[in-house]
Amino acid sequence: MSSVAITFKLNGQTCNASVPAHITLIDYLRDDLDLKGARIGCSRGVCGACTVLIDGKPVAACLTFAFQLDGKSVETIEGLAGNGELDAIQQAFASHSAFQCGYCTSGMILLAKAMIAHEHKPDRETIVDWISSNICRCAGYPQIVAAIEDAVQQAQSVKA
Amino acid sequence: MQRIEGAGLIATSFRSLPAFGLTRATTLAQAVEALARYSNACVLNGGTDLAAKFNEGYSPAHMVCINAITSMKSVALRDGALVIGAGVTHYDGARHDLVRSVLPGFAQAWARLANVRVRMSATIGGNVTARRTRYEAAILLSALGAQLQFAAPQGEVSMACENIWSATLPQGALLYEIRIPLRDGLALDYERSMRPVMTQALALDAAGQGRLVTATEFTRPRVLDVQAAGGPPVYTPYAAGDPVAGDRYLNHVAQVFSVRQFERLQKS
Repeated sequence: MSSVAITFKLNGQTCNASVPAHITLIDYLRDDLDLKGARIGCSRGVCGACTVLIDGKPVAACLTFAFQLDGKSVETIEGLAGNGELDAIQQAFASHSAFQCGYCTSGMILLAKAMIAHEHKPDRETIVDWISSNICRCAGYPQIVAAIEDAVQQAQSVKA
Repeated sequence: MQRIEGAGLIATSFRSLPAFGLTRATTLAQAVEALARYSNACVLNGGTDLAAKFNEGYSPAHMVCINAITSMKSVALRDGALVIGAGVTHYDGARHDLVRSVLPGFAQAWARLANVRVRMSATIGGNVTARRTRYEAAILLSALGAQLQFAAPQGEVSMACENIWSATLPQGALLYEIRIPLRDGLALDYERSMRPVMTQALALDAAGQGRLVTATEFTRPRVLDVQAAGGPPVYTPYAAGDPVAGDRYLNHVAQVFSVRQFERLQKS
């Protein structure tokens, strides 16, 4: 079995590890690092429940091998809330009740975070385009879009 | 379903992936050398297709990871062609200033493939070499008359994009760039409103010479050389044999689309 020495940042903390080449990121996060926020859904990169951010870009952790973290920075949902306070996007989701079963929520929130970082003044169409990357089986899309619109407004006001 | 000792019955998508050896190439030469050495090796670039293949039972003995090869991530104009590295992601390529200025219709079509999350990881080279009929990059590139450039242990291999479906590549061959010859006035229109039933790309140059590529979810694209100097291209029906679209319906829709696409290109 081929193992790979990797160095990466996990939610801002530098980590060194040795990982088998064939271990996927989702298994590594959940089983080795005990970070259960990224969920296992379809295991085919379709549902987006396992979305994490690598160097700020949303990726499906089920389609990513753990060794690919080498030299990168990964952000999971566990890294968002600081000092016991929710991130602005998390707070917007809570305020709009933008979840039912909650299985898709961590992926949706990280997707929204990436969108706010990549898009200049995203409108509703842009939000829908991004959110269509992931699936909410409860079909809570109106609340999810409303929450993200709220978070975008907050981010814009902070920038201003 | 599969029975795993100690875990009981689990879906095949949740089973552990088989172990494999790994080469992390940082140059094209390293990658080609590794692919030549390991006859049962797979290539990892964007990875959006590969892990899914593992879950379908694919089990290579070795993996060559090429996403650190920076030379495969550039877009340039060279010798009258738009040259796109095989490692360029859909997201970066479709937004690239050069692509948008030289072939705006192609940039628009490229930006509509997959979803944002996939576009940020998946590469144009991976999309073509996956040889999946539901993937769309080969449709666009075939319409534009693109050439695929492979590096192989025996030297370079070049082929027209539409030949990817039937070609047998030399051991160790790796697609490293795609060249789109830029003829005067070359423009592309892509119609995908009927996807997944069918899609169609029409590319024409200033003289009205071009190609019409009709594709369905389950069959290889049909490439038709067309002349559209005095009016819409003459559409020739074909036997796609697609189980969903049906030949009669497919050809009817494709013919209607070809006229609309011609009109859109005239306006642009």
